Amino acid sequence: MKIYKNLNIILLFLLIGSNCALIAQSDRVTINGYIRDADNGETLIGANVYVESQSLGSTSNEYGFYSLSLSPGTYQLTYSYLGFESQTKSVVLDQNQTIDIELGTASAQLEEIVVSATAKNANVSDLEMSVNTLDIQTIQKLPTLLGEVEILRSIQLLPGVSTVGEGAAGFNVRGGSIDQNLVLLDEAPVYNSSHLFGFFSVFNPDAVKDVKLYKGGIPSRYGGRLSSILDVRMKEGNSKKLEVNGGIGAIFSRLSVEAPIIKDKASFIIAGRRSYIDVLAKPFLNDDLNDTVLNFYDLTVKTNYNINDKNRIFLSAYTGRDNFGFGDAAGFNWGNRTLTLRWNHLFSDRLFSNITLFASDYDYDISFGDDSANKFDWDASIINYSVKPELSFYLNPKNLIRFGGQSIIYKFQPGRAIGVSEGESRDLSLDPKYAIEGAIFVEDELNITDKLEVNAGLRLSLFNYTGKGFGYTFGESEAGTRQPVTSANEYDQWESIQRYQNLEPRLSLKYQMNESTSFKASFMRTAQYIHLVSNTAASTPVDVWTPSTNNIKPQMADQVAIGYFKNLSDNRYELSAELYYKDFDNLVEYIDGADILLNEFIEGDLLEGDGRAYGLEFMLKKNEGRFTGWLSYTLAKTERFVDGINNNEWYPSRFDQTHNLSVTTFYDLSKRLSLSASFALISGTPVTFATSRIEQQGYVIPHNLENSRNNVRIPAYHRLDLSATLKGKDKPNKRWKGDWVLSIYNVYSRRNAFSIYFRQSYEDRAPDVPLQTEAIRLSVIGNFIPSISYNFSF
Amino acid sequence: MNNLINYIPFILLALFIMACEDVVEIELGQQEEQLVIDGWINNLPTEQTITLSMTANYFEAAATPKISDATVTLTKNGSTEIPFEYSTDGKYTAMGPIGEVGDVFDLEINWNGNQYCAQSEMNRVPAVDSIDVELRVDDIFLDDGLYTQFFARDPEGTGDAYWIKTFKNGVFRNNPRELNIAVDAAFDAGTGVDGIIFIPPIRELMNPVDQDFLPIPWLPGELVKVEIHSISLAAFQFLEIARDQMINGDNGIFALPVTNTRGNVTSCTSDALVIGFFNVAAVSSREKLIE
Repeated sequence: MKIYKNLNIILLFLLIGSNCALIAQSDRVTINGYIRDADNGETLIGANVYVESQSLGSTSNEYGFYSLSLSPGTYQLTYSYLGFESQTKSVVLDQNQTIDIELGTASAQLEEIVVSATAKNANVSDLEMSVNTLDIQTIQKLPTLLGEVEILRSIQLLPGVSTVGEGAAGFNVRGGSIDQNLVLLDEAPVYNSSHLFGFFSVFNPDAVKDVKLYKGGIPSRYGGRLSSILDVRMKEGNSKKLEVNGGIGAIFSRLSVEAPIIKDKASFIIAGRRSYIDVLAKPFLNDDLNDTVLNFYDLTVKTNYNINDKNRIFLSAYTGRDNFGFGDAAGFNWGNRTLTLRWNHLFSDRLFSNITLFASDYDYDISFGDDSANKFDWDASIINYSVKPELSFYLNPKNLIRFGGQSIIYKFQPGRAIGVSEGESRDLSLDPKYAIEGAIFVEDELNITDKLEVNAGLRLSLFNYTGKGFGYTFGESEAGTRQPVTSANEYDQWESIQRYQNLEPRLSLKYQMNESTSFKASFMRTAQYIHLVSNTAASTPVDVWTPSTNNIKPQMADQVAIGYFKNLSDNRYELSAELYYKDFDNLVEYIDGADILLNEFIEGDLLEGDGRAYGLEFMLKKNEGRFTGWLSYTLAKTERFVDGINNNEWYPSRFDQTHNLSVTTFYDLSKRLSLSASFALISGTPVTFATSRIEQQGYVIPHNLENSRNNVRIPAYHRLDLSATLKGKDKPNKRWKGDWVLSIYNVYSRRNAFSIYFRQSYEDRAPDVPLQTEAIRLSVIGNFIPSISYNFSF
Repeated sequence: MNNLINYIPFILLALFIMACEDVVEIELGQQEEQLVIDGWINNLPTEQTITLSMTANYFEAAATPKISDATVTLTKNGSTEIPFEYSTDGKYTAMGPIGEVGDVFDLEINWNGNQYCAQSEMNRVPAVDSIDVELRVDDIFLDDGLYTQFFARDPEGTGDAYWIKTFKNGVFRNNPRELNIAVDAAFDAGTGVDGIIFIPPIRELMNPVDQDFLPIPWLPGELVKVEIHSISLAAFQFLEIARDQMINGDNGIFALPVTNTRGNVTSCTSDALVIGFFNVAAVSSREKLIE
C-alpha cells in the first residue's frame, strides 16, 4: 500500500501549494456557479462564459461548474452553449459571487440561431485537439441499424476511428487495438462495451448526456490506456419535473423515468432496455428449443443531491447482461456492472474538487451439460475498485491548474472452471491475479499570451503486480513459439511480484492566428498496465484481461500531432486537419496456435510487439441552418512488428484502413419532419490468405508459403444509410410527444466483406478424392435493413 | 481451450440471420512448391506409410504432386535401420510392427540433393476401455438416435498427448471438424488436468458431425472403431493449428489469425525448406457393432 502513502503525501503538497497561490492572488474577486439547461436542470458541459470587455472567458467543466476571477468592476458576462439561447448578464463585481445560470433551448430550430461568436468558434479557440464531442441529440438523429440509437457506431463516423469490421466489438483509434480505449461511464471503466457480441453498445441513449472522445493530446488527468479515452457522461435526471422517455424498436424496448426528488436540489433517472427477440421467437420454437434463452438488457440508475452551494453528490450505477441458454444443456452469459459515487466540493470560489469512488466488474459464465456427472462450468471476471481525487484551481481567467491522483485495486479472475467427467470432478481453475495501479498528475492550462495557450501536464503512473499467487519464469524458445515455464515462485497476498513506473508527459499548444484560425500541437506519452488477451479477428466476450506481470511489460505509446483549425463564413463551417504519428512499444501479440483461455502459463504464449501509426485526419462540419452535418476523411497507416511473425518484417494491422471517408448530413424539411443520411467509403482491411495446400493423413491443410501476415486486402467497404424522423404534433396542452423514426441501413444492399476466408468441403470423401476448396466472402450485413421505431416522452 | 469457442456457433447461428456468405473467385498467382513429409506411423503390425508430396495451389482440386525418387530410412534407437521402400503414389512403406513404447526413431530422407531429418519417441497410450451406445431422444441439439462415446483413462503424469481417430465401417473419418485431439484427457496443456477419464466433449466427438457441426446418429449395423494414437506435444500443436486453420471459416467474425502449422522435419544439411510432421504413435483401439 506504499502507493497510497506516496499519493497522499504528494496530494498534500499540492494542496498546500495551491493555498499559497490563493493568498497571493487575493486582490481579485471570483465569480462562479453552475450552468444548466432551463428545461430539465441538467448541467451543461463545456458551456462558455465570456467577458466582452476583457476578451476573457472560461468554460464549464464536466460538472457544469465554472469559475472566473477578475479585478473588481462592472462586467457584461455572456453565457452561451451551442443550440441554446445565450444570456448576457451585467454584474457589479465587488466581492466573490455565485451566479448559477439556466440557458433555454433555442426556440425555433429552423431560424438562424443567434449565439455569440465566442461559443461558436470553439473549434478554433479551444486548446483541445484530437477531441470529438457528440451530444446525444446529434447521435439520436443519425441513421441507425434496426432503429437502435448507437453511441459506439456513431463515433465510427469520426476521423481516426476504425474497426475490424461490421459487428465487431469495440473500435480502434489511430492504430490502437480495442483494449487501448478507456471507455468510461460516469468515470467507471467499462471492460466490454458490447451487447450481442458487438452489434450494440451497452450505453442506453436515454441515459446519456454527453460523449467525448480523446484521440490525442489526452490531458494528464486521464491515463491507463494508450490510445483513447471515451468519456460517456450520464444524465443527472430532470430536476424540474417528471419526464418519461421510451421507445419501441426492432431490438430493444426502452423506458426511462427521471424526476426531481426535491425540486432543483435532487433528482434521479432510471433507464432500462431489454431485447425481446426471445419473446417474439417463442411461438415459433419447437419443443426442443422451448427452454431457449436469448436476451440482453441494461439498467442505468443515477441520482444526485445538491447538499448546498459547496457540496453536491452523485451516485450512478449500471448493470447489463447478455444471456444465452439452451435449457440445461448449455448457457452463456456476460455483463458489466459499475457503481460510481462522486462528491463535488468547493474548497473556495476558485478551488473546485471532485472525489470519485468507483467499482467496476465484468464477468462471464459458461456452462455445458445437463447431467451432474458430466458437466463443465466456467466463469471469469475482472473486478476493480478505485478512488480518484481531482482538484481544479482557477488561479485567474488565464490559468487553470488541475491536480490529483488515482488508485485502483484489481482482481483478475482469468478463469474458474470445474469439469466433471463420469462423476469425477476436476478443478481447472487458474489462480486469481492481483494488482494495484496508482497515478498522480498535475496539469496547468495557461494563456501565455492572447494568442498562445498551453496545457502542460505530467502524470506519474505506478503499477504493482502482486500476490497472492505464483510468479513464473519462462525459458527461451524460437521466436514466435511457446516459451516453456522454468520456475514458479510463490508470493503472499499483496506481496510485490513486479513493479513498474512511468512518467507520462503531456503537452498541448494552441496558437491562435486570428478569430477564425489556429494552429495546435500536442504530445503525449501513455502507459497501459492491463491488457485484453484476444487473438481473434473480432474480440469475443470470453476474452480475458490480464495485468502486466514480470513477463508482460506495460504497453507504451508516444504520439505527436499537429493541426490546423479554421472556421469559415462567420463560424458556419468548421474545418480541421490533423497530422499524427504514434509509436507503440510492448504491444501484446500471440504465438501461432496460442491457448489464451484457461491456460495457467498464458504468459508463455504471448509475444511482445512494436507498432507505428500515422495519418492525416480531415473534418469539415456545418453546425447551423436547415442543412447540417460533417464530412470526415482519414488517410492512415497502422503497422505492427513482432519477432517471429511475417518473417520479422512490419505488417499492417488487421484494422488498417488506408482511406476512410464518411459523410453525415441532416436536413430539417419542416418543423416536424427531418431527414438524415450517412455514407461511408473505407479501404478494405488486410487479411491473410493461404497460398497452398499440403496433405497430411488425408487432410488438406492451408499453408502460406510466404509465411506472411495480412498480405491481402479485402474489397473496399461502402454503405449508405438513410433515416426520417417525424415528430408528433406539438400541442401546448398535451404532454405526450411521440416520434416515428424510419431508418434504412445499407440502402443499396451492398454485401461488404467482413473478411474473405478459405473453406473446404466437409462432405465425406475417400482419401484419394481431391478436396474441394473455395473462397468465401463473409458479409455480416448482406442486405438493406429497414426498421421503424417509435419513441415517446411525456 | 480454443475448442470451447467451437460451441459458440450455435449461438451465432441465431444471430447472424442478417449475415451472408458468397463464394468469390480468388487468384492466388504462381508460387514455388515445397516438399511435404506426411510421416505419421505407429506400432501396429500393418504396413506403415510415409508419403512425400509437394505443395499445390490451395484452390487446385487435384491430387498434389507426389515424389517417387527419394530414399526414406528409419533408424530405431540409433542402431536398427528400417528401410522404407517406394511403392506407389509418393508412398514409402515398411511392414510393422516397427517398435514399442519408449523407442526413439530417427527419420532420414534424401531427395534432390538434400537430406531431411526428424525424430520421434513412441509415447505411452491408455487402453480404450469401452464404447457406449446410447439412445438419445428429445435432446436439444440432437436428432433422436444412437450416439456413441468411448471411455479411456489418461495415465498419471502430465504431458500425454493423443489423437483419437474414428472409423465408420472401416473408413477413417477425415472430416476436419472431427479431428479429435487431447492432452491429458482434456482439451489442452496448461490446464492442470491429469489422470482422468477423457472429458465428455472429447468422448463424444467420435460421433460424425453434419454440416451444422451437430452429431449424426449411428445406424444399426454400422461398425464403429476408435483408435487412440499417442503423439508428442509438438504433434499435438501441429494438429491443433491444422484443425483450427481447416475449420477457421466456421468462426466467422471471430476467425483466428491465418497461420502455418509448425512441422518437426527439417533439412539437416542445408537451409532447404520442408513442411510436415513425423510422429511414431502407440495405438490402442476398440470397435463395436451398432445394434
